[in-house]
Amino acid sequence: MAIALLFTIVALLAIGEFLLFGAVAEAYRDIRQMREQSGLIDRPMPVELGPAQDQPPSLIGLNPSLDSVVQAVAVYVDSRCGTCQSIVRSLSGGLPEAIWLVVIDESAEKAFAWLGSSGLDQDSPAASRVSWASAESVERNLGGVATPLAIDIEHGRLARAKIITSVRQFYALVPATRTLVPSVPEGVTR
Amino acid sequence: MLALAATILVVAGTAVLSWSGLEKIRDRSALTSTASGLGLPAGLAAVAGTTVPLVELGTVAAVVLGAPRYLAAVLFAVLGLTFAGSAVWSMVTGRDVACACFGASARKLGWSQVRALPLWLLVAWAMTRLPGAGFEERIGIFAGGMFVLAAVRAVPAIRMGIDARADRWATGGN
Repeated sequence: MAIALLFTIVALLAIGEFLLFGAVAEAYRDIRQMREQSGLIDRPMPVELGPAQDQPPSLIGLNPSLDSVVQAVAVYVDSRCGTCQSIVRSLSGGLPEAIWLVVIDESAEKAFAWLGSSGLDQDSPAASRVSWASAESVERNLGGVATPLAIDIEHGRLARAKIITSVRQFYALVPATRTLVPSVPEGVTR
Repeated sequence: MLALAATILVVAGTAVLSWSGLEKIRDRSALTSTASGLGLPAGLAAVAGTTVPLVELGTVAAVVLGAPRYLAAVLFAVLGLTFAGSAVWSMVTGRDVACACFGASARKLGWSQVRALPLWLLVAWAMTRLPGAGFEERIGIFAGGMFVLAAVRAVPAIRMGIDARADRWATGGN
């Protein structure tokens, strides 16, 4: 009898738990709906690449080595944009694999001075994947650009672009990267 | 072997009715809206919105409390026929109605409910072949089953909570 009573209590508690989780899920759906209506959803916004679509990255001023990568992402950042500042602050001197940073600034010195504030020095290994571009050259190559802009590069071609609205999305960009040219271990000749 | 198959079928049918009944009773507006969409007057639709989940939960109670087997079997069959009948009515009359099978949902009433009818009838038949068991055993199985259902229900709630938190952080909150 006592066990039956115990099971009954467990069943009633489980029913209550079920109803509560249902109510919580519905509340989160309501919040999401409100955020969607207010434009407060952390979701990348696709951007048209225009004539640059399917072109090699070097055509828009990106590093020519990107013309032969299987997968990479070029991220345009500007020191005047709040999300870009958050992204750069989060780097802590490193740059995720396969992410290439393009800093839009007046000069390379200013660009690296800004990155240096987050520990990403011009001499660090990650700096090889950092480049600088003037606002005019970006305007010329891509048209008007809102930052932070991420351009996916697939098989050496510009595949798609999107504006990322948070640090979380920046780290979600990181792809598994491989180069089209197979790496040859040191000491091995072909 | 037959007893085991009957037990599995009845447990599965009871689990489905527990989930759908509890979800519908928590928010009756979805089923009321479905009943309205099927052409019932507003008053009757509201009655249907309450009656259907109560019958579903009543069927579960009949199984757990050990009511006469034929009563639970009839309830399983009636519910299956009601679901399939509603689906056929919606298709025949060309009404595009949300199914509200497990609470509010974008899924439509249609062939899925018709295809489920033989399963409901099978569960009803299985109910008549259910081996005898004491209340302690039945309530034990029900408690365990409800615990599992609650855990499964928790997963999307927790996931949505994580997404909501990420959205909050991303848009400047903390």
